[in-house]
Amino acid sequence: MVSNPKTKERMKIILLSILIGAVLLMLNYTSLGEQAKNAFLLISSPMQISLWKQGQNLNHFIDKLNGIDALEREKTNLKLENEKLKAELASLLELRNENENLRKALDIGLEKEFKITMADIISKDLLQDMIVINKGSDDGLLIGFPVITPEKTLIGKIEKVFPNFSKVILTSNKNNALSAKIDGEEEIIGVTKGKGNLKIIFDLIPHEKEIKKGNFVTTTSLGGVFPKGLLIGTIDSIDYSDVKPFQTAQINPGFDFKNLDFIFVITNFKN
Amino acid sequence: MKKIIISAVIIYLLIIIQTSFLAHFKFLYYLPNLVIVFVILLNLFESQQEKTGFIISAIAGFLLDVFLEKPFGFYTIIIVAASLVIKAIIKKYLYLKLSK
Repeated sequence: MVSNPKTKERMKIILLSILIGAVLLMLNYTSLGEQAKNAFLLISSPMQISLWKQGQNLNHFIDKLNGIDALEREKTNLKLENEKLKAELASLLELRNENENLRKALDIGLEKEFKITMADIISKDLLQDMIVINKGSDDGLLIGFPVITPEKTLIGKIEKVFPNFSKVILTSNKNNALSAKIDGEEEIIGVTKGKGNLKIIFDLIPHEKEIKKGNFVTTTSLGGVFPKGLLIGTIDSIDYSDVKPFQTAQINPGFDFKNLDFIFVITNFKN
Repeated sequence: MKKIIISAVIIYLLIIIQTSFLAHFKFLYYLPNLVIVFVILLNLFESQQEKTGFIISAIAGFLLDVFLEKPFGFYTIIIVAASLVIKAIIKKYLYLKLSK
């Protein structure tokens, strides 16, 4: 029998450690862990949705305050731009009419192209570019489904599903790489890689291809993961080096959480 | 017990505020995890006889594991180990003997 109080204390600590270890293993290797996560998210989601919206509003307000100094300069620039745009508008109006007629003829619309489910964002992971949305396997969502904005901009894909929630890995997440292209006179195909902190790079662009700031980067249907033609972002800066085998470019993500009230999950698409 | 419940509620609120509210502000991107800061401070200023620091650390770790994308136990083990180290350092180097 153990009589020494110090030995008794040690035995207690060892037994407690073994018990905690067993509980953690059980949570990781059974569905209990996912059920626990789902239950906590379910309880917290009303508060999280409200806080998400409040944060969005406050961020808008701060941005407006920061922008007062730049407003004057912007006003002058905008006047000049306005003149140019008026000229362009005249020609665009003609194209719009033509486009509308074609749309009617082809019956194009987001819900015509894909089968979609609408969802709200409830939180963003602290360390990784990952968000949580309030739809899960009960709503028919599965791992790998693409997530887009109402403007058809790719946000990311579903990484994990719970019964009522899903975790979405953003295009800017370090573990996310996808085939992409720049449409133009000649098509430039490359790979976009997440850099974290909402930054994306466009990599593996051959040296001989010419890319410009402002070019649109869109998805390709390669691999069948994403529908083709979804906007990923626009080229922000180009990193050209003779030493490197390929040129790379920084991409400005096409989505902005400030203006995002809801998102769509594509549950089915035709390439 | 009261201290544990109040701390658990504070930790839960800190996680929700940081993931849903503060996540919008780009200038707060490098803000440290508030829960970890809270638990470290709690362990630093707790008297040596008290053991509630460990329990609160375990609760904080569990809640972080629930809300953040890491396997269960990741944050629990890190935070409990951190509180053990803090206690050990305080015991060895910062022990204050009160005069009678």
